[in-house]
Amino acid sequence: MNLALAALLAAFPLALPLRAEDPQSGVIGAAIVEALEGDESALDATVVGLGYEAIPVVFGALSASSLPTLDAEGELSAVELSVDQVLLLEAAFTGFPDRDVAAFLRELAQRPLSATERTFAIRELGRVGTRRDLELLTALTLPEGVRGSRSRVPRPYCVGFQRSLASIHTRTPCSSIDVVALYRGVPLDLAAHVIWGLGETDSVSGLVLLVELLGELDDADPLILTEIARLGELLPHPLPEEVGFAVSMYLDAIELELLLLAIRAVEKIEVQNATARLIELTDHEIGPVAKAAVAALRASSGIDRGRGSKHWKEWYAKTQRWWQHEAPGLLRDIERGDDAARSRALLEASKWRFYRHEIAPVVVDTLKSPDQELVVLSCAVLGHLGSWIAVPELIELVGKSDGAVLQAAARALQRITGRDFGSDEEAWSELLRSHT
Amino acid sequence: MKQAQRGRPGSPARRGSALVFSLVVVTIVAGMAYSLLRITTFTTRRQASSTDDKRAFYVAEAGIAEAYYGLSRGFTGAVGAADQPVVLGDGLVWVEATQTGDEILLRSTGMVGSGRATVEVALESIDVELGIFAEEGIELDVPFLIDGFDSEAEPYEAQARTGTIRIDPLKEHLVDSTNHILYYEGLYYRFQDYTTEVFAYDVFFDPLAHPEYMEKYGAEPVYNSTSLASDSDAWLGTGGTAVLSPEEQMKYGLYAAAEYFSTIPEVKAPAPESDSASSPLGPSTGADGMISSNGDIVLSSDGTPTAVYGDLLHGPESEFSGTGVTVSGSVGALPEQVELDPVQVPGVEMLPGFLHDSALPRVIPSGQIGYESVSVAPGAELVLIGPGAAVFGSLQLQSGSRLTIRNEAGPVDLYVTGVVDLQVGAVIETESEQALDLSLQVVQSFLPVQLYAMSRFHGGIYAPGSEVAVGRDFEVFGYLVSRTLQLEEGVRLHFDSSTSGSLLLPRLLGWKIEEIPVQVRQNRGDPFRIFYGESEEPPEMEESMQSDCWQIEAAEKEFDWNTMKWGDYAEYSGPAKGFEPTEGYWYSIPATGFAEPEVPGKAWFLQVSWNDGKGSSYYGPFRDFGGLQGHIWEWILWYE
Repeated sequence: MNLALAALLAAFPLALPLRAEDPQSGVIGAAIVEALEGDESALDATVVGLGYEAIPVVFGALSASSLPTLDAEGELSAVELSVDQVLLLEAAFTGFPDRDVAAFLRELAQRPLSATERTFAIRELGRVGTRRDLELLTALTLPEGVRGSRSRVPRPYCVGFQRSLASIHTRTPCSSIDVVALYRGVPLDLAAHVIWGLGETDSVSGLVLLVELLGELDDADPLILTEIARLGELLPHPLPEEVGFAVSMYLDAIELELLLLAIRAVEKIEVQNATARLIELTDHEIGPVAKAAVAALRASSGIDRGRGSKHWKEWYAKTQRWWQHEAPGLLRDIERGDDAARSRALLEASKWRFYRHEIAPVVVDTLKSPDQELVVLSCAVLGHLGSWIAVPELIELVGKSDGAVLQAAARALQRITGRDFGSDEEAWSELLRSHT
Repeated sequence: MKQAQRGRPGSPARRGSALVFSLVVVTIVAGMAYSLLRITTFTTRRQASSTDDKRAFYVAEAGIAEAYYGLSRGFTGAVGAADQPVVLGDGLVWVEATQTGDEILLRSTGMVGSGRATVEVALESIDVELGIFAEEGIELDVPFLIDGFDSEAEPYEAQARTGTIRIDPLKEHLVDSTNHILYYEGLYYRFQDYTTEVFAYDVFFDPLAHPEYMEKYGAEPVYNSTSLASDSDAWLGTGGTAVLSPEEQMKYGLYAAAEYFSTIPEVKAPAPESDSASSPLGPSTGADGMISSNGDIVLSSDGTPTAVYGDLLHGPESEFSGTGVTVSGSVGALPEQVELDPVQVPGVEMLPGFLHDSALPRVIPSGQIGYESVSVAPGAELVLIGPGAAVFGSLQLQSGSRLTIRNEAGPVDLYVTGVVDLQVGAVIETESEQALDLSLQVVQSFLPVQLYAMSRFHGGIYAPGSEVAVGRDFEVFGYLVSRTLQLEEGVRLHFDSSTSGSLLLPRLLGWKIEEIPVQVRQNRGDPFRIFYGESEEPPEMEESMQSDCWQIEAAEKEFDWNTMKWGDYAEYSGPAKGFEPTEGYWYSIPATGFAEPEVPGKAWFLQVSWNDGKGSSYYGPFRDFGGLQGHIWEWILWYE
């Protein structure tokens, strides 16, 4: 009976979202209660089948842990939901079309919300919204009366906003124009969460976008550089070249803190083209700057030449000479040499960490060799070089080999990724998927 | 004409005598002036030399301080080397460290201009677990809780499973609509994952103490691990009621919670049940705590029991008295007075101080950096990035401000040389839950160190010269060392036993001025020129700290260059003295100096390159290696 009535109501959608006090809510609520008490497996289909009008009712139920329903006299009353019922209803809510939920949230933003409703609405917009909904995200995040640039926004809303932005960007990547508009349209309290939201995507697209925002947002460069450094540490390398170019411009920053953050970012995202400038900075008159530059050079080269540019310049010249004159022959040996020559070349190549992303693809080819000892050696060298380029092939090796080769491949993966899933190919694959 | 002049008669002998006299006088005066000049020059030189000697002495002393700092951070104590001293102020210094048993001898030689000085200090390494320590006795008349845990094993929450809560309905608390506790006695309890609304309740909740829960869910509810939260998003559960005054809500910054809970009818809190094993101050591990002092420990409580879950050690000739206090472990005396060493602040350039009042967070980069003063205004946020050491002349977190410490990538050591004022309503958030990843060290503050901010502070607080006052919202998971200690009612301090090594601060046994090493005594020229010439840069202090920790990776099986047999990898990470070589080819590079390990029947070979100004290398048997002078660049050691 209730279901039939509810279906009828669904056929004539109302202009505004229902509220708990609307009689129609009671009809839909009663239908949902009936469904909750029936077959659990049919719940999702039943709830979604109630149509658009059911969205506000379910939303309200999730916010208040109770459903409006009609009693025997046709009066509205509330039915308390158990924790399990709330969970079931929450799962069912995700079955509504994203477009409808987004439309409902747009309507919801027009009226005052309780804290729970607001929190839930922000989260749901993160689930269903697109980059076109960023303005709506702001509207849902800001409580009534909070509009000025220096207005305070409660932290839970800021955190929800940040997570939702990350979710939206992950599904429908935002452009720098979108983000600049968003950043400039929110109170300062929320502005940092725009940056952190992009960082929270833990993705290359998030990183690229952050780089595009450098210099675009007032006073936000330190925050952006910090996020870039964090993502640089987290994401597989090599990263897109344009990332390095934009960040290395900040190595000429005058402000000390900005310069230090830039050096760290350059270190973490591995900008080969910034090496010469980093070497210059090892002579910087301010101690922490010179130290940070040395640390960055140490990380990219895998060796230590101490403070001061003299020895780093020598190293850089030597490294470049090696790459131009000796590396081609060495890489040829790895590709086509006899066993002894290959092995020697592999060991020699493993010393040149600076060019690891260029060397690794050549070494990866040797993993297909039938010579198990050579494959073990190649794994060791790849582990030493530490380039993510080798990860897919190493995972493949983990899946199809055993004994020493399996151990060596797993060990190499562990050294490259910093994680240890042993011989679990699926776990390694999942890690790779999550990072690419 | 000339002849006529020469032959003029009359004044033969006297002619020119004035000139002679004048010449004599001038010579004498010149001689005197020269002597005076010599004396003046000599005196000036002596004075300069004396000044340089004094400055060299100060540099040598500062070298000791750096070595001490290194020791407390797990380094060997050695700084630079005799052939490669490091820059310190205007001079150069190197420190040799020799360890014999528990005794460490530090010999520091400083050089400034023509000045030279050598200072030798004997230290004893002491391994004392102080836990919560106040040097000048402890006298507290408020309820508080002290317990302990080991953060390397499990987070505190997991180890506090045995704790239960008794709720006093008259005290501020918060329960949800199903009577689950969200807040009580300054502690926050929350759903495991608020984002997915998984209703997993906190492990501290004891169903036996709540009949309503028993009735609804049975005696064995599903418990999941959980985390405590000090941020206010923890409050956004489903349903609930707040018994918090508006002032309290503002105090905790619970704007959203205040708005939310005001719309929900009040739910009566569950009736308390007595449980003698539980703590009235919230959950506890029930053991492993530590409170100690050089003086008396006097604890009293007016009805609300105070709990020390662990040991209590008063001063050697002092006493303990407790009224209404439970001490679950042993009560005893320290074997001897603990002498706290002063905080050793790393030498960093101090930048001008600042008041941060922007709503955009200010980021302090990793590395070593110093500011003359730091103040964070309400609504503003300061972010410290690790690894690094920050030196602040003073630190003030105003109510409503926030300090976020991002120390998961590396530890943060925060040194404050003056006032520490962490006000009520400020928030400190630490990313890492390992106490060793954060230290707050206060040199000496004439005003009490005020720790009233809201924080789950996972770190150590070392303020040996200061009075420390801890507010009830400042929960410590680590250690706290002070001169005197004041606690607000309801404070919870959890000693992290994994930090016991970090308190291994060397104790000074004695010091003396030593004979200056011959190699620097003979040549009194500019030390920078002597050691590094015109072009080479001397190393900085930080990079010259010699680590006592090796990280070695090895192929365990035999390695043959021709057949390329590689075996399984092995790893070693730890102090050099704990390293036992296994048979194999050593591939990676220890941080510093390597003594040839003995492997019977095997000979060690070494390939090494180093910086001695021109770049040198060696390849051959280890025992034939004559040593090197300079920084090692790369080296490989193996045996056959």
